[in-house]
Amino acid sequence: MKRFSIFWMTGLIALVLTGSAAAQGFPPDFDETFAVSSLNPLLMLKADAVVRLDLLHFEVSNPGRAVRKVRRVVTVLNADGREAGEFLVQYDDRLRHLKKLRGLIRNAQGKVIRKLKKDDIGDYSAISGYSLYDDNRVRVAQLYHDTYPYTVEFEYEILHDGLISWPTWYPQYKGLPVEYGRYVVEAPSNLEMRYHVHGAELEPDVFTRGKRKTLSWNVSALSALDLEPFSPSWEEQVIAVYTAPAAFEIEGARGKMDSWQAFGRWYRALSVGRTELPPEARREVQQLVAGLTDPREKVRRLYEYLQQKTRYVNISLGLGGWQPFDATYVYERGYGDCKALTNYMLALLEEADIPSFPALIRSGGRAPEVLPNFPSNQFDHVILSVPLAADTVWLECTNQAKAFGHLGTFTEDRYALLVTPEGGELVRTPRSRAHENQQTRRAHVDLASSGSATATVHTRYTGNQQDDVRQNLVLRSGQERKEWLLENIDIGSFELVNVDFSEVDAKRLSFELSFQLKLPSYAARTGKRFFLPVNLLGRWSYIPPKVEERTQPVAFFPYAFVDTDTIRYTLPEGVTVEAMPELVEAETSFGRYRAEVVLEADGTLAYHRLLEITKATFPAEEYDAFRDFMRQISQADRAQVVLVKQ
Amino acid sequence: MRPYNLLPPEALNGKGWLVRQDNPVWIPIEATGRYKHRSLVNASFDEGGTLLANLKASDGDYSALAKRHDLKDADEVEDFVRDALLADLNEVLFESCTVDNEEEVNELLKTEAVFSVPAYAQVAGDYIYFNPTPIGRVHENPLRLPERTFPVDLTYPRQLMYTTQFKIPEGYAVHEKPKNLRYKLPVDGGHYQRVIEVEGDILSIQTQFVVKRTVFPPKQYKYLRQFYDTIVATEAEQVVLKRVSESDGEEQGGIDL
Repeated sequence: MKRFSIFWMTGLIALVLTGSAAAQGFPPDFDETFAVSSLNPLLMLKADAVVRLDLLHFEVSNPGRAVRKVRRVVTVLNADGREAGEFLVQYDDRLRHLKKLRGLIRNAQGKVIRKLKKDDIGDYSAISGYSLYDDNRVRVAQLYHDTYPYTVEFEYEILHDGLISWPTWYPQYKGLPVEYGRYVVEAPSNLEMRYHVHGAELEPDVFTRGKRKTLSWNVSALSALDLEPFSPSWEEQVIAVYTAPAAFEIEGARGKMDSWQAFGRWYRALSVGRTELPPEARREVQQLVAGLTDPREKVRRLYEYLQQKTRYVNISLGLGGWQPFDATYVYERGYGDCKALTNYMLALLEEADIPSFPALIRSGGRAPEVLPNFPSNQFDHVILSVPLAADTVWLECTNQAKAFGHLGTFTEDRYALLVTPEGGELVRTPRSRAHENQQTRRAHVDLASSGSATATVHTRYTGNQQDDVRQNLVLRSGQERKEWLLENIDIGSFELVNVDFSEVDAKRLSFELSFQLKLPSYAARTGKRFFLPVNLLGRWSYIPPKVEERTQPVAFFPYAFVDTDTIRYTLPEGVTVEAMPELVEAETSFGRYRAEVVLEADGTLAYHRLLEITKATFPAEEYDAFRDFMRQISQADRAQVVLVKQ
Repeated sequence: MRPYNLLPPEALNGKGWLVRQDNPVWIPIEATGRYKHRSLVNASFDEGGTLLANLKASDGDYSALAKRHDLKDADEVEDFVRDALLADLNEVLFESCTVDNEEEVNELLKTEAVFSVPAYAQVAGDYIYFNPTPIGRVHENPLRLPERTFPVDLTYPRQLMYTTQFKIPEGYAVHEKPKNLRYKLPVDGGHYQRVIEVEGDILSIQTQFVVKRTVFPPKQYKYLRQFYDTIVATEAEQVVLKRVSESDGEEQGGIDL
């Protein structure tokens, strides 16, 4: 322990990343060659790779300019750890200039066996090699060797010219164990530095010298994050140090982000004067809303117009990553990125006297939550919020097939920074409830005395389930739609006789898909008996693996939903029921399941199944209950009725 | 992971260009092995319908190659056995499980497992119903398109043999069993055969799946598709056991615990 304390005290004095370890203030016995023999054996337990050193140094010279220096040293212990020798650096020669890029490989004894420089595309042996490629935005170094263990080292420097984000430091990248890690951020003393530490009680060392102030965070001997099945992402479970400026500048646009309000104000200023539409566009808007009195209907009409007339193209260069193209540009060309299309939609609504506000958001299914108490640039997308008397309509402006007012898993249930004339305001987008995401199936199966059958199936999908199915179909043409359906019908052998895709293109939150099937051998026959599987479509068969002492929350279901099936079977003449499945009911804190078969008075068999998931994510303690639940479903979904021919 | 002279599946593209000074030519490149699997299962039931099984399986050539890859990627041997050999079963509880010859690529890959499957058989009144194909069952026809314009290439010939022996629980007798079947693909393309026999308290079932030809032109597609349809239907058939009535034997209510 003593060794570490010396290391950390002296660590602050010399802040040069390159050069010898001694010059960086490492302890006297620090092994600069990273030989495997000097690696803490405790960190190697169950690990495929260990981060020996993770240094991040961010030197700010003014609100718009900084240098980022990164050095990572990783020992790869076996073939499964190979990926840890892959590094990536993003740059663009406008806001981010790549100044230095170096990589090397050491053998287990610490001897350098390969070196790679920025423009070095060498000819190396096929067994142990690397590749380095460059698409102008990213360079990737794959540092591989064929004899394990080995150590790779990757180092780069980026000059930021225009700065909106400061680094978020993840020493345990992808959950790897870490021997030493340090993040240093250094700036003029008069520049406010803000930070937030996630996942640990970690206070920075503060050091002031002259007109420069330094904050640094140190970590050592962090064991690997063992990701359990269906757990939240590694980013949410490891130590992370978020840093951000109070004042920033990017291509001449100055702003503050010490409050959400201030950050929103800056964003708003960028789009001032960009909502003007040419006269012909204004006339079109007026014609579109003429005769409509309900504001919601006006919004819908204009949104459909947007979907018809525009498409999404990502264009973001420099400040263009933040400043939208003006509405006229989008009107004339018919394309734009999320900012431009949102701004354009805002302009259309403005012409119809309906106020609306852009909302910055972090997109993606299961995206890590934005830190509400740390105003900073945590967003990657923008949508439009339209407050109406009864409720707020949210518009995703980049999707031509989306149902009006539906967010879906890409942006629902999370923080969004509403950009209003008063500045930014952090709000939450709505979360869809189970009953909004339904799959309701009605089917009629006519069983013949041979065991073959015909089935007529109607399935109505709403909300997110509608997205899951319809978004797959809408992009496909007629024949491809059929092929997609053939692949997704979960029955052993069948012929698709007829299918009705007529509701696919109607961009509604609720849509129905109907088809008819011929089932050549639906009920297997043995002698006088038929074995009739009662759950026609969508049997669940997955049983999650056992986990001893689960510690992480369970994020298995993508959202809350309800599935209901009502399948009616008309039986052939002269057949009686010999065995019927019993009623199965299962109830948990996150959902319930019920399945039963009823022999109706008219001789038909009716199968009723309900699966309702009310909570998409639930605590670790529920894992065993979750497994049991899935096991019961898997069993019950295989249920069959045994019929006998008299 | 490939033994000597087993061409990798990705190289089986029909033809190769023989590079030589004099007279370079196209030569046929054909599979140098088969997809070979053989397994033997000894099975019985407890009174609740749980299947108790003992599996011995061996895989050769392309089957071994695929399984060695799966084994390498699996976290645990149990995961491998469950996914590669027992995927048809709802829930598998292992008592033991071993794999031999993982590294000895010239030998057959050998797997042994003792496991149970809760509620495998449906016990209802005087009857027990169960599917006599617990492993290797073809659940669905992989050929979903009604027609094709290009040939189907199955890459390599296949030869899969399954033998399962069920011990009939005491106090029960076989009431109905699926019929025996032999079904051939045209032009000696292969065959499927299933034989079910009862001897004493043992019901045994032998299944052979053999595909000799690998390329099926569009004209023959419907036969290949029908072949699979037949297998799917056949392997869905079940065995019916019935409790032996009192007059049928002395040992009534035979489950004795």
